[in-house]
Amino acid sequence: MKTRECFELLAPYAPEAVVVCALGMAANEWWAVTRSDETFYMHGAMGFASSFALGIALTMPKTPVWVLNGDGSMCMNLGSLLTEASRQPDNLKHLVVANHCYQTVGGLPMAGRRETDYAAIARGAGIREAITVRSLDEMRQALPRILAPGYLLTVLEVECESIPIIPPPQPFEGAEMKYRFGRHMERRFGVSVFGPQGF
Amino acid sequence: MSTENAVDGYGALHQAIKACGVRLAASLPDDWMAPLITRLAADPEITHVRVARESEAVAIASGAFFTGTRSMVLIGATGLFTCPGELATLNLRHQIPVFLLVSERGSPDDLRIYQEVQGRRLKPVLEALDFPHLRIDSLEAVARLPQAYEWCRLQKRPVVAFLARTLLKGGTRP
Repeated sequence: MKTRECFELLAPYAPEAVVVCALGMAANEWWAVTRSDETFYMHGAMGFASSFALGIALTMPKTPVWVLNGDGSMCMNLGSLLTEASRQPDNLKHLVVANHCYQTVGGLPMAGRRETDYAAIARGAGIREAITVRSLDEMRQALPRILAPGYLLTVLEVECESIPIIPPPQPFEGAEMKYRFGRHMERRFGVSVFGPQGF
Repeated sequence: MSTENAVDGYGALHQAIKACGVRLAASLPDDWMAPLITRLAADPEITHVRVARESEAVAIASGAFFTGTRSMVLIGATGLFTCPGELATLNLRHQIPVFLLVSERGSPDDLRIYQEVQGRRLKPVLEALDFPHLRIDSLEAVARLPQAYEWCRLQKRPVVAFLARTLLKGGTRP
């Protein structure tokens, strides 16, 4: 299963959710599929996209929040699974794209083994609902569960693909990322992210 | 420990945090911060999140910013020492304000040997990253916390408020 194929199955349902992408392959492939500028593409803080998404989910509890994480990112901050386990907000879906390599820097393998079971790690951290999807058929079967209310961590076992090393493809970054996403949140939910002077 | 010179710093800080409009607090304690964190955790008006590493608190607060929720990070100085990478590549890069209340460990009146390096080097590290920091050492300074919080939003980057030992523990050492 390729990451992009997996995201193509998810993307039609994304308008219902607030989406946060970890830096690297998850962000790049989500951009390739959706061209969405209503997503927050984290360009730094590797390992902390799920924490960022948790902050959104806890303070906007009626809105579905998806975090598209990478296994390289998740493994930089495995302790966050304990934090997530302690809250498990009903509106948060944590999807971990697991290719067991650092794809955007040339596909070098991660520590661990291909058999490393991230869902088991999550369950061990106290997360009640953690599943693994290994094919597009399994992904189609899992979609109703992924889209249903209730916290869920889903590990998407995908191929480590041979691609050239590429920089983040979004044609905006830094402060523009903040303002695009923040203005979207203001328009969509009527919240006030920025004050009257724009900061 | 003698508390003859202590003020109710924790109570005043709790009220000042509420006066800032904070509705989410993310924390990882050290012993100076623990009483304040316990107060916030018991406050029904504040969503409190216990984290396993300090940078998680930074990222949680940063996410909450985008729902229009005022948030605060409460950690120890040693924990702040683990955060510069995330503060730089998330908050500085994306210009996301985050306000951190941090124990001023390693100050001249903190005679714990394992805090000494934090006291000597943490503030220069923050200055190298151009993260403003201020010191809260009295009830008068606590009362200015809401103003400092607004200033942080205007700064659009991390701002650290160090809590002095005299405020939290009184003027005499154990």
